[in-house]
Amino acid sequence: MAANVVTITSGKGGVGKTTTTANLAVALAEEGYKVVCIDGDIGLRNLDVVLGLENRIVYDLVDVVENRCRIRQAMIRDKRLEELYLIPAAQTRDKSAVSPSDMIRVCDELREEVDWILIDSPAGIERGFRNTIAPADIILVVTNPEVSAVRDADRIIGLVEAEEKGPIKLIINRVNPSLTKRGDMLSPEDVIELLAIELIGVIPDDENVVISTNRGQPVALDPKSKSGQSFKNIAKRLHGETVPFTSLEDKGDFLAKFAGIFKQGGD
Amino acid sequence: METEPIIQIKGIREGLLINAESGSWDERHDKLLKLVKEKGDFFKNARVCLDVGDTALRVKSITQLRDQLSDMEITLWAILSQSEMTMNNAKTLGLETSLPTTKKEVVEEVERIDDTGEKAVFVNRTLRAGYRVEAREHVVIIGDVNPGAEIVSAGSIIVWGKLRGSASAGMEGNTKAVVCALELRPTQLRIGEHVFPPFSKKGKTFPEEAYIENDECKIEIWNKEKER
Repeated sequence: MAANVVTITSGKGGVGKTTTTANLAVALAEEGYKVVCIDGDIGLRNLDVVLGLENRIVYDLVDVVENRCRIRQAMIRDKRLEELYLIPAAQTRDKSAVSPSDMIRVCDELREEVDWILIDSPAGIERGFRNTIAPADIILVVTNPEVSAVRDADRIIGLVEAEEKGPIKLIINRVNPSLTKRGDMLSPEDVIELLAIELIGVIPDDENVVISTNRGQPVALDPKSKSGQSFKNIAKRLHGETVPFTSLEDKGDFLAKFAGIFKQGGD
Repeated sequence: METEPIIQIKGIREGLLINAESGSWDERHDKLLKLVKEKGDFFKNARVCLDVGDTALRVKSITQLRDQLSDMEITLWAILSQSEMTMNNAKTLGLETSLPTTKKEVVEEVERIDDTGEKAVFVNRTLRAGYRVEAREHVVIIGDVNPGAEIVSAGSIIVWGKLRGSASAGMEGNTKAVVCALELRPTQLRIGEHVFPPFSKKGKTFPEEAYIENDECKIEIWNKEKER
């Protein structure tokens, strides 16, 4: 086994990096892959909360990096899915406790043991961001259909391209079809047109995501959830399956239009 | 043999290249750290490639330096050396051991233009948010200029793509400078002292040219035949 390291990043805060990381991890683990998520947001950890594993943390990423424990000891196994693990961030330290080469070392050690390593990046473009980008094979940029989030995503893509990392793929989160239709929100087409990278998924705006996040039960665990299904589709596309982009709404041919863009996208 | 360590720093496309080939490793190591501390902000957030010549370095020496640099917000991403041991150790640590082959297209392009006209800076990619191109020469971009990107030129600015960031041409008072783009929708546009009125965000998909005539800001559909 040689794992793929996928880093989820965005630039702007609050667009759904952590939620995306948690749900993709669940979706991949449900398919039978062995998945480790690493919370790269040292000092502001929250992936453990979203996954509902906060009360089981003993060791964290900084303990691994500073050799206070073995990697295995810091991997918390999920209660629901056998093959899902979390390496939490330290709460009491800051980003400078870990360096980009530390992250590469940790990931290289894990690579042989698991199928997927998902890294949740902190907001911003400083040290924490560079730590999480360093080991990445694939970079998923999450954005919302908002001008400010798209601007930050553009900046992040520029930085990642400058490091010659990639492929970079785009997730547009919290799309509200009725607002888009009225022209009160950027459409996914607008976002793709500006960012000009390959689209890998669109997640509809869904209040259940907030509820499930607070409960520590990612929506991807709920077989009936629409947003959960969107995350599962991304997971499938990640491992190379072709899943057509479907409409977010029952009636509209809303997403059919940029199925074409999806095919051309990427480089 | 005692030689005073010489440390040279130069900027390369990938960040900074530091040459530290002579002297004992400890001396070089100390001098380098001292230099970095002295220059403080200059090195902050830098990506450094270190050329150590034929010095054989142990993993411990490399990690020590890497971590010390890292504490000062500097990323050591590559080590160049003729020593096999150093190269192998650097590789194990996930560091690069060679520079990517440099693309010389930008430089060549500028020289070629020089034969027949005025100098220009040629950028063959999209400028994303946060990027800034500043030149005394003309600026030619093949690609888009996204919102949040910035071009400043003493000459003209040509964008073979969508210009949606900000563009300032003729910055040293040259009002003969022009700005053209396949889609001219800059966040802000200036030529010399003149600031253009805000552009609408939607609707235009034809090439246009902005220029100054009789102290007035003009925008026209681009047409090569046009006489001015």
